[in-house]
Amino acid sequence: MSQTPKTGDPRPPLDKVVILLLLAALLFASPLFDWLIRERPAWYTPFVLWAGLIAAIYAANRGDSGT
Amino acid sequence: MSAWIVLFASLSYLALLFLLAWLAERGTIPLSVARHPITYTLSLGVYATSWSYYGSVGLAQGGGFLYLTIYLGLTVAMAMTPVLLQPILRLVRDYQLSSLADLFAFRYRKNRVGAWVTAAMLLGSIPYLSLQIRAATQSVQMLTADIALDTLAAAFCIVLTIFAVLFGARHLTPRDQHEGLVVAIAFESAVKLLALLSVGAFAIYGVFGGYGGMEQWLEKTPEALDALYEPVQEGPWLSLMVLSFCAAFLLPRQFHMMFTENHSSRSLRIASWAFPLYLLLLNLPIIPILWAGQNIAPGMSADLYVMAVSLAAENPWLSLFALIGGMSAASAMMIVATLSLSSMVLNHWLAPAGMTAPQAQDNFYRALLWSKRVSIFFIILCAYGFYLVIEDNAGLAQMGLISFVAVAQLLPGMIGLLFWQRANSDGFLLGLVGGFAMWFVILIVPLLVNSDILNQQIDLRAIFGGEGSDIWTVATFWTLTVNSLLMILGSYATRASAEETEAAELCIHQAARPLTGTVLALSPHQFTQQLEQVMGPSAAEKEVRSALAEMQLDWQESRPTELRLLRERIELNLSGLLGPTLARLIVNDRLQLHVETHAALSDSFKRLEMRLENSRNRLRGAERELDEMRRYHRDVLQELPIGVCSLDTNGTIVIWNITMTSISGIPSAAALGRAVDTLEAPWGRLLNDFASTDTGHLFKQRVHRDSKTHSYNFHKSSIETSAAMPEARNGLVILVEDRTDVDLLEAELAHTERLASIGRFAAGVAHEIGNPLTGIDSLAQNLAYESDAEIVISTGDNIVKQTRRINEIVKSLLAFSRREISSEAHRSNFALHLCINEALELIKLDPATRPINLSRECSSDLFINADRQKILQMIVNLLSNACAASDAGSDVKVIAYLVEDNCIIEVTDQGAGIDTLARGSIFEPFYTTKAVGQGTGLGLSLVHSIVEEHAGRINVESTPGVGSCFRITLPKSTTEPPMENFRA
Repeated sequence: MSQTPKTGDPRPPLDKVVILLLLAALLFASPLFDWLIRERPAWYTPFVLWAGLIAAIYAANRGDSGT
Repeated sequence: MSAWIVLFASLSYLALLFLLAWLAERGTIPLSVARHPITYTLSLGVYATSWSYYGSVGLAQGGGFLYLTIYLGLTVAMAMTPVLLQPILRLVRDYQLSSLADLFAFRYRKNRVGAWVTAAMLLGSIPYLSLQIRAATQSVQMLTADIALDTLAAAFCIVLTIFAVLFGARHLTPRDQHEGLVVAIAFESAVKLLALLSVGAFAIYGVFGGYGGMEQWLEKTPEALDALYEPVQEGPWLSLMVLSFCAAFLLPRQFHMMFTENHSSRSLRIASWAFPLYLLLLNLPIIPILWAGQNIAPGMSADLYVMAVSLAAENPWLSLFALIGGMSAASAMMIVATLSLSSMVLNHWLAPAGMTAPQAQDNFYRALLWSKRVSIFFIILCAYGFYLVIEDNAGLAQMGLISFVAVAQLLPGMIGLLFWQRANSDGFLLGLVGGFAMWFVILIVPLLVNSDILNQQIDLRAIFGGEGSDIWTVATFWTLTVNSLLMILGSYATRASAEETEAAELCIHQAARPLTGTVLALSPHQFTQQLEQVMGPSAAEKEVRSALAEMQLDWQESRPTELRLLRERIELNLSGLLGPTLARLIVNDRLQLHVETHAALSDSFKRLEMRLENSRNRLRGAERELDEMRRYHRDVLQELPIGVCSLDTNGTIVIWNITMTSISGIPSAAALGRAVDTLEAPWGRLLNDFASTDTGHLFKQRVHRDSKTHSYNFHKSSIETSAAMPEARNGLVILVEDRTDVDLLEAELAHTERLASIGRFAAGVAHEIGNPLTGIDSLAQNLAYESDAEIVISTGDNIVKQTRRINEIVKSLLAFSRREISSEAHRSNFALHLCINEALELIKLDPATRPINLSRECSSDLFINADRQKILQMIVNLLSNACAASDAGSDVKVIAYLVEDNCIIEVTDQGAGIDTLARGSIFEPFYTTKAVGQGTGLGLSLVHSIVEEHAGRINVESTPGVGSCFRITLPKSTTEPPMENFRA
């Protein structure tokens, strides 16, 4: 009889990594990004986008216990 | 500003760094701080060099927000921590790898791989190191022009060499990580962040008069914002992101801090978001500093704006702080990069070339350490030389990016290492050489052209990318494309060696092949003797001792499995010392294997167990389910209430479960891996003989252990796997069943059965004898009336006496045969002293007991719950025996007393005593030491039966010639006795 692992699913969170990569591509290498910079937003806009990506990495890591 | 002040401030700051590093090494700064994830994250800040500190402003001036790509690519790499960085960390830690060259040499298993990677890294890093020297010295010169630039640069290099030697080359192996270095680098990261934030704050509030002022300036100068955004649309945005993605984990310094100095994967997980956050904070002030610099010193190089803005504050403290921030950035990078490069040079150039390792010498460690220190010196010297040659011809950012393109050449190899099993060393080296050739042609040749080393102007951009294309896009595209294509072609064109295939399995699937062969050296001492020919006696002894301690083995170890694993451990430890290539060479050469011995199941089994235990958290899906099942089956085997011992085809013990340990007294750790015939007697002989016989079962084997004879049954079955499985999986399983208790029970049952038979027989005899005996007795009595003859009357009396004796015997037989378990109905609480008194009175009726001094000692409040008649009979029998054994005038005493919940009755005499031989049989029925006709041998047997019926115990102490003591232990009454029991 198999026992349920207590430390949660140990698999590398591939799904989360893929979502983070897609988010990074959307924020910094997509037509949306091109449109944004053409609009000449505030000087700190790239930093806000960057902070958003960091927050997403933090959120993706929060639930993982690590190996 | 005075040169002395600058010098004093710089030296004070470096002294503070020394102090911090020293305190951390001594343990004054606790490990919980030195190894804290925040300290680790800050230490990764070594990524931000003087290029980030000064050069980012310069890059922002020419390339706008393109400078952010240097950090955005890294953020993407950190987002991929679970699939990219964690696997690298696992390999580095599991196999004691200390540098990039070690990692590639481990995977691609060729001596030249490490050497080439070292060359590539040196080639890529020297320009970057010289950049740091230039940035640091230029910033000092902005504060004071009193010192010559080259002198300043030389002094800076000397101080850094001393620091790197003192705190980075004190220990040789990654096992001894450098807490001092980590703390110092983390401190430097904190200082440069605070310094840059301070200068940024002054730029906003000092130069523009506040954030609103800066906004107003922006409204008046819209081209400033355009200058930031336009290059993003046109410039090498994606190429630079790719380069910084590679740099995040392939730069030697980054690899060193991220993996070699890492203490837990948790730290890396936290750093995956905390480190980009640190870089975000570091980059926030760059744009305000740029705009402030454009306002203050429009003609100056933007690389120097950080110092220019701080000087504009006319606050010497801010200027000094800015200078120290820049020196922090430069020195941290130089120290860590140099350490990492020196480790590569030592492991892959010097040691294999025979400059240190292969000689047998007593000061082996010292030789290695000095080689590393000399390497550090020469690397910094090369950087200084490059600084002198290339002076002023390239911007900071340009030189940094040249290094980034160089390290990016390891990306195809790293992808092959982590994900592509087919990749091999030939393909990797072909790609690396091709990529570096392109790097040299596209990036270095123009640099040399500009520095007048080459006089001919070559427009490489036109050749490779056409008009208008960006140099970084061209360089990134062509170097990586050529590199990847050559690697793919080379890997398909050539075949990987078996060793390389195994390494690929280890890197990609974390799967280890079974260990093959046994070590020729038969003991740890022989290991030392073999190794000392290469390492010298003291180093060899130290390495073997340390491996033994890590495996919790001792110098007497002789089990082939453990020695095979010891060899593995020594190779791992040497890998941390000399790199994987040389470690493998030394171990293969000095600790040779018996190649003809096929894979031992015990070796594979133990190694597999160890690997599965270590990698349990990494298992997933079906693998995890299988592992759960494996654990369940293993636990079943371990907990089976029958001894299980499994042998492989070499007769080595593979499984030894808990019951086997308790049966044999040999712990599992001592049995596993040993040849079965070497086990302690008698198990070695027993198991080995049984394993080699054809019979499948062996019953009731007697083994004397712990002063007791045990009885065991042995069963065996051979394990023969299918043809698809390797031979190593075959073997034998032996079950050992302890039947000592079962045998005792069986003997007791047989004894009881025998007694019951005797009882039935006695009853029959008594019944059959009783009737004729009554007749004889009557007839003998009548004789006195039939005749007056004296002889007839005398004969009649004798016949009557003899028949009465026969009658007594018959009564005893009947009493013995009718003994039965006392039912609860017959039991009552009674005062023991009354029962003893009654027994004494009965005994005194026998004239033979009159010369004996009978006495008792018993408290009147001692009660027991028992069958009173039987207890009376028991005491009478014991007294009767005691009196029979005693001479006239001797004492026979009955004592009763309480011990805890038991009532003890002792009957002591001063008679002849019972010899040792007879003592074992006195409770057997019909056993007597009296002369024929003097006793039936049933008295003590009855006593024994009565004691057992009352759940008591009886034991005898006797010394021949002194006397005997029968001690009976009965449970005390737990209920309140009725009042009449107290009356005599």
